[in-house]
Amino acid sequence: MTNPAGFEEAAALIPAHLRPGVMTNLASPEALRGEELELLETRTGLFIFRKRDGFRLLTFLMNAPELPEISGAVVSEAVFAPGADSRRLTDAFTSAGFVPALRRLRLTRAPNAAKAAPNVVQTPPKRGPKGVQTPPEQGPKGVRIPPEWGQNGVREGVKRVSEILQNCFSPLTGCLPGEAELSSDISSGRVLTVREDGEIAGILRFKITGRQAEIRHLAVDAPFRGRGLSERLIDGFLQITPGLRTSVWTGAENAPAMAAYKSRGFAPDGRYSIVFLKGV
Amino acid sequence: MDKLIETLSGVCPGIDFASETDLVDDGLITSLDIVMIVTELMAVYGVRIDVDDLTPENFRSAETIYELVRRAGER
Repeated sequence: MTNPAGFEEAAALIPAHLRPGVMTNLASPEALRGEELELLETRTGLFIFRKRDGFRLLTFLMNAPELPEISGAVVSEAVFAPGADSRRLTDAFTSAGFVPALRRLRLTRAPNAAKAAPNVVQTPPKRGPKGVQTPPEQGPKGVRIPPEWGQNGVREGVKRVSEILQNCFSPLTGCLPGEAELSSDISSGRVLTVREDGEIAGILRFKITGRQAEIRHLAVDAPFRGRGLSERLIDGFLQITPGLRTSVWTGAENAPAMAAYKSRGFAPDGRYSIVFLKGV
Repeated sequence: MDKLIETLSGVCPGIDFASETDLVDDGLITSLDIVMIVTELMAVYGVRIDVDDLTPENFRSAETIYELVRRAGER
């Protein structure tokens, strides 16, 4: 095995480890394409590391709950089905020196969930990005939907949205988008903003696939919290995505976010994850 | 089929597997869901599902997943 490894090498090893009883957080072999990889194959499984800025992301396929000795800063997230027992995997990670640092819950809102946005400003339908049915220029209480940026504004938008994301999320566990991805999201209308005192105070970043939407990030900069901006952003999002089933992952201990989502018809669907950290 | 739908619903709650016919294109299941479904199917049915089977066509509906499990059981 060579390290760093290429996609083809990783893809060739995966089939042997995908067998009954496997424990894995692999979303898709294709997710590894284009990544700078390191591979570690042991008698208990295949461990694939993706390079990030200052740490490595670990994807695993384990056929016994035992991790090899791993050095350096590593982050791994395991996702569990409703009711699934996480102890075996958690024990394996903690035995290898990892700390279960964050537990996330998935919340889902059915398309027919009760509307909880009585103060939404209804605006006429307008042509918008694919999947967004009625994008208004301005939604509930000042929630704006790009393009509000103007011809040269996307770059400024990326700068401010990145700043808010970095202020609100950990670089290790926040699943933060790169500049190119964020620029694309803003350009295609997948980032809502809310302004206070003349500046962007909060953002909601989302994606749509078919009849399913996912809120990727909801963030309000610290000086503007406690003003109901999260709820306004969620209302704006719901206004432009009628008829879509929506999910969002949020920290189990993040009481303000949990309250905001629940007030708008979201509820835990039983899916949960645990983020394990080592050497960070 | 009832057992399969129960298994699928256990992994992906809130989806009407009995009536949905375009699970992937409609965005109702993601690639992560597919891998979670596959690991559960292998555990419950004792079959071996290959990486090559992880195509959208095999996960379009409960019926196509049923066929996938049936073919895997015959290998």
